[in-house]
Amino acid sequence: MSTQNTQTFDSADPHGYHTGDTHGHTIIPMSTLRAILGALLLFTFLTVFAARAEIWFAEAFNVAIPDWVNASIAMGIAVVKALLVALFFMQLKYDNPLNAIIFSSCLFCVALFLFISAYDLKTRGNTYRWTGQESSAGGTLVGIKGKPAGQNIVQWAHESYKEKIIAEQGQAAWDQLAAEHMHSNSDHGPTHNSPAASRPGQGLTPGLFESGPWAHLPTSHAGEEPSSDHDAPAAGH
Amino acid sequence: MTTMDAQSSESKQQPYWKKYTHQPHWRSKEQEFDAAKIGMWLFLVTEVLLFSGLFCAYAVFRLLYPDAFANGSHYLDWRWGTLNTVILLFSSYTVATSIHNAQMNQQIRLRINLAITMLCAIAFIAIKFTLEYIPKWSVGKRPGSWFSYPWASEPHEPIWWSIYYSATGIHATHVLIGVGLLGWLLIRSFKGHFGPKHYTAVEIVGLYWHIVDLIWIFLFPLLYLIH
Repeated sequence: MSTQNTQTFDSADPHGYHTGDTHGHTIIPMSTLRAILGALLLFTFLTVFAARAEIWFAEAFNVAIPDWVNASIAMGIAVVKALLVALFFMQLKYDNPLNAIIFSSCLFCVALFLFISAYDLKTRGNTYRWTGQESSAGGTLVGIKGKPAGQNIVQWAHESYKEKIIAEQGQAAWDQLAAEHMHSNSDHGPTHNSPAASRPGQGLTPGLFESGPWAHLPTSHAGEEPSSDHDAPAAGH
Repeated sequence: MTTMDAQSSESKQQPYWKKYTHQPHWRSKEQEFDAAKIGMWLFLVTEVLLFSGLFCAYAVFRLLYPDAFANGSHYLDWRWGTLNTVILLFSSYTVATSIHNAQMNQQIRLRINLAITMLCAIAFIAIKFTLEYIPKWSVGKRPGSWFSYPWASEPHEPIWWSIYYSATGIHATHVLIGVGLLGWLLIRSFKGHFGPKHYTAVEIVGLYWHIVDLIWIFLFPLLYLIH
């Protein structure tokens, strides 16, 4: 293996920078690689188990577990797995530290990016008076090309499918189909109570949809309950 | 023809990885290897930044429409997601092992591990398309204005599908590119290009493959598990 590495003086490298310099060539033992694979599979099992156990627990004891519990367990485990991959499989632990510096400065920028975006979103309501308004015009694709105005796209998909089924197979077929699907929809767990429960924390910038293809549509729901325009599809809950 | 025969018999005695020194513009083989790795890490940084835009979009829309995202993750089957996670983690292990094999001059194992990695990548794509994309797309669970699923219960679900298809689609594109790169490595490994003195390409593609795995490590819980 080292038959070629007998040369001690290189005229192109008179200072001998590279002789004996092996930091880029760590050979990671197979036992380490196997242990890391085992740990990664274990953490995958754990994160799936935690998510399923949480759903089971919430249903069995009829308690509402806050969103952040599920999210922070999942993200915590993902970070540990990512660290294992980066340190051992990608060899950052053994490598030229410059590579680790490059990568961690990138992660710092990503953290800034995510933090500032989320912080802006969560605190917008503290600054502006349209806190809590519904932003359905953009997000629900009301009046998008080819779809009827005044209906969001979810409503449109439901209504047009209903019309099609009734026209082709009759009301009885539709009733049966609707019963089946409403049943399967109620399978979604305890957090999913009502379609009206989803309400954006903050509103979008007013005036955003007052020009362009949405111009003719009502965009503001100030002073009324935001549930008024999306109670159609899942009345079966 | 005779010269080619002579060359091939000569290269049997002296494989490419032994003959390879370094390109003339580098001071040494070490410097060439380190520079290639730093260049790859810089590329990986741009990859992470590309996906961070998608993660940010996910975070913003999730904060705005939590119920649409909760419904969305229930439309996905966590079992296929878990299977794909295991496949990618295992392929990360085999590609790390193939670097070990190249360093130890285990030529046969190197080829086997590269082939397993490539098969894992193909299996990932196959599961993604046949069990996830095609069944979902065909019932109308589509992004944005293509949406036509009649049983949605939350008016912002098309946004969830937009995030789902763009994040997993860009990731799947990377997996496909990885299949090509691993195939290239596999062909070169049969020509005896990699060994203890020269395995830069295996190392570099390995890094790429690990970042694809790393992205999936975050996409999997965000899309399949958080409810």
